[in-house]
Amino acid sequence: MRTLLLLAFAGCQQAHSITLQLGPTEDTLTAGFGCFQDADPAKLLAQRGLQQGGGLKFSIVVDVISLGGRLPGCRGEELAAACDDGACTIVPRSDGTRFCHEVLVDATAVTAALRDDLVPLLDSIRTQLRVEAVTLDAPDEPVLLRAVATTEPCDAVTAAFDPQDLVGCAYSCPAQLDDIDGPIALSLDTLTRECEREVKACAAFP
Amino acid sequence: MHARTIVALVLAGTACAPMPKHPIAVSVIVDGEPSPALASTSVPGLALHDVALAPEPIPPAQTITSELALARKAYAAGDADRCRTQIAALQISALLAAGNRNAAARALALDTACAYQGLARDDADRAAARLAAFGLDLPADAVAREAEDLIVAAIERLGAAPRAKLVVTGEVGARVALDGRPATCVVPCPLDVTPGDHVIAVEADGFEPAWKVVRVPDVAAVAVPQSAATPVRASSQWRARLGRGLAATDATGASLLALATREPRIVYLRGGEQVTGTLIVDGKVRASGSGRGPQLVRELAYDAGLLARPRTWQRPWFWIAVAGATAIVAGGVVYVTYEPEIQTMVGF
Repeated sequence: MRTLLLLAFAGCQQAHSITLQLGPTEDTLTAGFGCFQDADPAKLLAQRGLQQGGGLKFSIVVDVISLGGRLPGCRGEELAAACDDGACTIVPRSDGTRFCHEVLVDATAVTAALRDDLVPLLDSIRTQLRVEAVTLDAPDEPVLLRAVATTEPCDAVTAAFDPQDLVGCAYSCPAQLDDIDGPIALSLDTLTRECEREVKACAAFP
Repeated sequence: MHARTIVALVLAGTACAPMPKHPIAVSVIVDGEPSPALASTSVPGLALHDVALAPEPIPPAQTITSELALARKAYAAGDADRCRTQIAALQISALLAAGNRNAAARALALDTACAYQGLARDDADRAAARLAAFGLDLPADAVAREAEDLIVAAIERLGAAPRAKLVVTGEVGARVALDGRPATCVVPCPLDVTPGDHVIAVEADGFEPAWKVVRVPDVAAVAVPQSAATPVRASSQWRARLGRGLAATDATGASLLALATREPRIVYLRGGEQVTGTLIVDGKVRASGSGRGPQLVRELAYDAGLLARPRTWQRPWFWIAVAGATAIVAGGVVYVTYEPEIQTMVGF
């Protein structure tokens, strides 16, 4: 009898799957990962991860940030207002960890990206990030998803990122993830490519 | 767990149904025969037991013919005294009360002849007068011509005599037989009769037959009381009614069944799968209907007031309906309000 009930409930359970996109579409990259450094506007933040031989090495940390039960709009001003009272917090995974993976992009993909062919770069990043889910069961409350790229290795990543190591940052609009079954695009609220300040603010949120 | 709770509620509800402290004894007759099937059936609150009606009585051995033969043999042998002794033993009034007019006529004709043969002329005249008063015909049996002349003369005398009124009273509706003639009238019954002795017999369902000998015109009214029928008599009368095509459980039939069984409460059932039944209490029909055996008996007991019909909430089906309705409502609420758990996986 009990087994039947469990089976019935299991049958009623619904599974949703959300795929994160690092840009507006599958084969584009958000400006949050293409910002130039303030100190040297000729250099991309991504160049902080440049390796000998032309490849890139960085860590991507993806956080699920609770908005304290509120569902504000996407604009930075709205998000800041919603989290003014400190109700917004990073929700750790069930094992208490954060999603962090070190990514190594070869020089060929980097070269193609510099020629505006982002497909090899994004394929490489996605392939390395797909080894693990960001979360297997998203919280049943309004959250936003944020991805931070940093040159810090995963075991050195702390609650606060080192601004000098940041490579990029992007986040989603606030959403009730259980209501979504499909892709979610990450982006950075900026109007120019001189956006290191926005990247820092994004990484320091909440 | 829920199913057990529902079953417990149903049982509790059933247990709450009003029951008499002691089962009420009810006799069961199925088409006049015992019912093995119903004997093992139990109806809560009732103690059912089969009863059988008394079998038809075996008629006594016919001795009248042989006694008449002995009397005739004595008459033929010229032994008038022995002939008259044999005739005297016959109780002619009883023969007439039983409707045996032929035997009575033969006996009285022989009595007349034997008395005449014994030179008892007065006794011969009296026997002839009785025969004539009873309205009997001269039998075909041969007797002395002189005796026949006496009888014919008596009949002629009586035919010329004025008739008298005789009023018979007793159980209202009882059938009256005069001198052995079948059912002349019913009580109260005024009769025009010839002078002389007459046998007034009455019979009615539910009563033992009774008779009296009256002498007209000395008596103008006669009451013939009857006692209640014995079980054997009542059984016989009930069967006779069925034979005449009358209902088994009309008012008279019910009364006869009560007398036949000497039981205060009787259920009379007849039929096959669909049974028709009547509940008789103290000789009166209290309920009747049709249905299936035990359920029918229970319904009859409710209708007759033997058992208190359980209130709605004391019936099992009520709780079954309540449980069903509750389950439907609960299911509806769950259906409307249930939100399935959603497991959302986030990845690249």
